[in-house]
Amino acid sequence: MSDIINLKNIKKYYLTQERQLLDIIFRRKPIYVRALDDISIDIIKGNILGVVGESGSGKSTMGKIISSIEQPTSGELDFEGSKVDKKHYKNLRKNVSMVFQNPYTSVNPRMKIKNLVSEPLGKFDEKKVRDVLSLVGMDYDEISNKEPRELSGGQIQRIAISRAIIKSPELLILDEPTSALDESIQAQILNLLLDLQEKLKLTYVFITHNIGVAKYMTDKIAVTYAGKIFEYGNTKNIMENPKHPYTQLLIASVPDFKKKELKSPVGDVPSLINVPKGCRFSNRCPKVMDICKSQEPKFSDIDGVKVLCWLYG
Amino acid sequence: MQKLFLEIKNLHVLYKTVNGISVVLDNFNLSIDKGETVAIVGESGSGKSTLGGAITRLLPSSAEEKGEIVLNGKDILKISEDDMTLIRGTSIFMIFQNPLNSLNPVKTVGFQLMEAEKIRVERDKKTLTEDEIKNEVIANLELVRLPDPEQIFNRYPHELSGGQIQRVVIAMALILRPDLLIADEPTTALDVTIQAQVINLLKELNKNYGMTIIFITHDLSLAYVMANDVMVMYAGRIMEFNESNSIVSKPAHPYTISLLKSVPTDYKGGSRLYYILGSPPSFFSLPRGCKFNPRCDKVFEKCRVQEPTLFTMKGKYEVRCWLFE
Repeated sequence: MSDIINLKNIKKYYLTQERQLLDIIFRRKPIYVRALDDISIDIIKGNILGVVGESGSGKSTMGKIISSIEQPTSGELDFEGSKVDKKHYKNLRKNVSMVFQNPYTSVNPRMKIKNLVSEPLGKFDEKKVRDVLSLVGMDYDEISNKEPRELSGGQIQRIAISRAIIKSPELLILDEPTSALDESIQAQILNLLLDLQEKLKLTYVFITHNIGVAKYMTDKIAVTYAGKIFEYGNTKNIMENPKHPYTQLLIASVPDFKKKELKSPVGDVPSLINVPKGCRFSNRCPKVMDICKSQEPKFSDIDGVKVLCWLYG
Repeated sequence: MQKLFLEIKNLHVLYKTVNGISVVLDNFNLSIDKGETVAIVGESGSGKSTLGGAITRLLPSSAEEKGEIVLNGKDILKISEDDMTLIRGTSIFMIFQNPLNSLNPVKTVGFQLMEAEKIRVERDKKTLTEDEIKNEVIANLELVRLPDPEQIFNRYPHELSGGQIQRVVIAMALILRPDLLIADEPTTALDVTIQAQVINLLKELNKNYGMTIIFITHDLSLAYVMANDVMVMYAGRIMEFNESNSIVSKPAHPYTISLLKSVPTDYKGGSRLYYILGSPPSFFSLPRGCKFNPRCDKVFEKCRVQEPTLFTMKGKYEVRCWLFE
């Protein structure tokens, strides 16, 4: 199978504040937030890649880089084998759409549903709107003249999804698409997304903090932490036999119906401005060694899973 | 024997709005013994937060409460606002979802915790010097496992992360040692690893100090981990009140069963997720009969006409479903 997206050594640094003339004259060092630091990943066509991590781990930034909303500071983004940069992003933009977490803020509240759905087309095309609405399980005649406030959260998320697929893209970036929804509604949307993926042969990048959802939805998982990918491989391999100490603790801290006790790493996620030397998890890791505090680990390949940890390298 | 500690009898809460009156809690009964943990589970709009607000009397002025909420033998719906202010914080303590809203943004963490400690000292009729009070506060910050408590003491809330603030609030609860702790979605805004830390802290409070905890959440698995008893709410009604182990192993109410089935646990490629048709009803247009009947897969004639009462299952546990008549 071919890759649809290749990320090669992507870095994304944000300036904490804009550089002023005086800063340049006095040669003050710029302060960066290292949202993504040297990330490489390949996304296989027709696959669902889950990006799992805590807030501030860079998972949303990764989605923005792939959809070319943000330009990487350095590194290369390839779409279907050809490089994407400031001048050559049209092909990518045509084929990638995004669905965001809060459905109410991602649609214009003053527009009618039929206009909202046809907006990406640039002109109103009733047949297309009808088709795409029936794909997401909505009835055109019933809702076309309604406004977003008349619909429930789950219904608006369906509208957001229909907007994303109306131009028949190949890749959908789903940034926490169900976190704002109730559990009973979440199940409906997840089913819909899986149906659409099969029917339209889409590729998904599924960004979530919910391990249960990631397990159910994805073929592969990338676990991110403080701007790095810590572990990347088949979902089943990672969920059943997590290698990285962080992944192990992450899975152990998720409440489920099998255990009454939760385990968790101590402390907080590090600041992305003053990243710890060596491994970024070293200050919280229960298996920390001397080398972790001084040198950054490199990827090792174990049973087809890539792990960024000194325990294996 | 533990004595009955909190008893809510026939509680009605209704909101007056421009669209009319909406009855959010209807004939709500709950009794909790000292040292118990009860989780209240429900989707958005199930009335679970209104319950927390009613017990602390922090509901907006458009709300009207009827019934009895007896805490330690005192009906807190009947006492004056001044007396209530005394009870809040000392007898009842509430932890809210958004950690940034629960502390004063222009005072340091230390100042706010010192305030709490002073109230406690006054209540215990002790006299402590300023330094002793500060040491107590720092000791409590250590108890909630905050790194560098001395530093945290001098910080402002905006300088802390969500998890840290939530732990500061728990430290405040530790200082005040309330009899009843109400936690309204205290971990929803936090990451899972931080959530696990906070949950473990709350469980310690219950175990070590016998604090009674009402844990309000939308997450059944979290309720299972946190509490001995779980109450499932829907449209302002108790649908099922059961032991947390039984709720998971043999849930009674069709709504609970459906909720459990809609949580993803499998890998991709298996069957599609089970889901509940439709969405929760609005309080302005509640269905006739059982409030869950339009979405229930075991619905029969009677459900559409008459609302079921709570049927006893075993001991104090109850279910609101005609199937158990």
